Amino acid sequence: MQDTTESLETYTYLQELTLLCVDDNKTTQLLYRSIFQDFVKEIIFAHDGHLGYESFKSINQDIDIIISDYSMPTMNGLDMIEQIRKIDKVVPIIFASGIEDVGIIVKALSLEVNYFIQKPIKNHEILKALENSAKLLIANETLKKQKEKSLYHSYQEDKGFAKELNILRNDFYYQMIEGDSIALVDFLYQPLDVLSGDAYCARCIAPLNSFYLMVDGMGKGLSASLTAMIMTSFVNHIIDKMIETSSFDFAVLIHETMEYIKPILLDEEALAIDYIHIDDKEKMLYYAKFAMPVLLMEDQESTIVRLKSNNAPLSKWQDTFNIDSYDISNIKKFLIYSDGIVENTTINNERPYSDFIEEDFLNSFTREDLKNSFFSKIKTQEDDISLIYIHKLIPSSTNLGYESFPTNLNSLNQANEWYENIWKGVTSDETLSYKASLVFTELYMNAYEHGNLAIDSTLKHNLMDEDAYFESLQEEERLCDKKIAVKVTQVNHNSFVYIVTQITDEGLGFDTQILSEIFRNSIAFNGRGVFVSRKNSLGIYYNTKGSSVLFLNKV
Amino acid sequence: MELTATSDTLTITGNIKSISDFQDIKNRLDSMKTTTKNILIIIKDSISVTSSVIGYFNKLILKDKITLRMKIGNAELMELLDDLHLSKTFNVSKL
Repeated sequence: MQDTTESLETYTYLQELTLLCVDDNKTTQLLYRSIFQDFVKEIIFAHDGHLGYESFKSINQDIDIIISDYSMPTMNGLDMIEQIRKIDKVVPIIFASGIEDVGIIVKALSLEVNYFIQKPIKNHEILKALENSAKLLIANETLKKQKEKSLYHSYQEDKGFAKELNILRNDFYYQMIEGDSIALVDFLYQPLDVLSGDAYCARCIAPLNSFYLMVDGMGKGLSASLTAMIMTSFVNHIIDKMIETSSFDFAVLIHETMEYIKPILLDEEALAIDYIHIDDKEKMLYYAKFAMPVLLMEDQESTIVRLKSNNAPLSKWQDTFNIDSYDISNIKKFLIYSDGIVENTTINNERPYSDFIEEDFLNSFTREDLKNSFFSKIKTQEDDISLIYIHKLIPSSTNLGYESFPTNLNSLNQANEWYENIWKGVTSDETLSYKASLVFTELYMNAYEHGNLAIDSTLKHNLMDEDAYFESLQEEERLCDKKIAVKVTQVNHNSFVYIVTQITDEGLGFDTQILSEIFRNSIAFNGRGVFVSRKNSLGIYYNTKGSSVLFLNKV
Repeated sequence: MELTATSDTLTITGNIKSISDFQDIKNRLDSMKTTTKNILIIIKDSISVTSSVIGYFNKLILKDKITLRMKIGNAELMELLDDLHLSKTFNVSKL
């Protein structure tokens, strides 16, 4: 063998292997022993194909390489190989014989014999075949390990991401905030890696009182992700406690989280963070921004307002922080985001997206519009993208219709007709009208059966299975005097018209956090109506109680 | 929405949207399933489908043990059924 590093590695590997030599010739057996005894751990001899197969079968886990002759009594080498290949497709086989019959060689090839040696045996030829067999085994083992490792990592990543989503608490998942106007709260969280350096949380502190956190662990990889997740997790914990004791204090929250994270940060580590508190009763926004991109707002006159960072990036050496405030009485839109979106190169002369974000923000009505504008301007997403988009709908929108329907199946059809007629006055595009009507049917039906009649999903499916659903609905209706209110308004934004439909029932509502489960796992049986509704509208938003739902369509 | 049916095939033309559409589909299929266990549903052009119809198809397969096949004409509906992981359950193919 050649004295190279690779050969040395192969030689060391061979020392652990067992060789099965199948040959009826005593002289060949002696020759094999003299050649191989210094290279392999053990040599097992068999005198014919039948014994060779039996040896392999009985101790097949221990035999690593097979050398076989062709002509032998009882069973020839090829028949033995055929039997062995039925139970082991990969063990390296060296076929050493004097046979020159093409038919036999072709059959041996079809049985995936790895090497052919012509007798009489030459030491260097058989040793080369042995070395190559060992290399094949090493390669197979490496591939197997890589596959196992890859499966392990993929499993771990899936688990890690599921946990990450649990940490990113979002009290406004598919929600609106109802005050003197309705605020629609939307999120975009699109990490590049499974474990992201970006994290956020959105918390409802009290009615009309919300808190938003956006963390960007500077740098990439596991360390940045760990910091961002630990930080978010701790902020959520503190907020939970503050909500429990009705003692939310913005400054205390910042102070406590800084004290918590500082010992964990590495000496050179820095964190970019947005702490944003929106008090919609007082119409004030409080912020402590640590080296984050500007917070964008749009006022009623469609002018952009920029809130710049008022703190350096958070490091373990930082002791103080600033909180500033801004009067938001005149503000209708907010955009909180990490730097991933603005630093992304665009297809427009490779200019960064920061050159376009303000204009796109002004032109967008929903997060979906902004998202579409962003992705239409870039070739590839270069970093994690996280943003929170809040839009307060103008109370002075054009009213297209308001109606209150009793809770019965006949009214369901009347409500559908009433709604379709409104759409006939809005557009002649039948596809748009159909999609809006479909969403209306789904969400109105939810208000009717789950809201006012309080039929839960399990009962519904049981009744459906028993073909007793409609009869049960009619029975329940007789005892129900609740109403379903529908309000349709039109908002003009740039050259587009948005139709806002709000359906409100008088039921007990539901925990809207289950929507998160539905959208994470659409295989689940329940919630398909909500899934269909989201698919056919710009977005659906529930109130905190879950008794009122609003959906948007763009015309 | 219009329905036409043979002994084992239900063809749906137009958009499926209202609760009465669901009731019509259900009535037809309830009648068909008394004579056959293999039903082909052709949805020629509907862009989407209501969750009550989806729930009913599911019940036909899982509870009533009806073998459903579905031929879909509209790409958006194909995508929706795929998003809901229903392509395999409903034996969906393109019309």
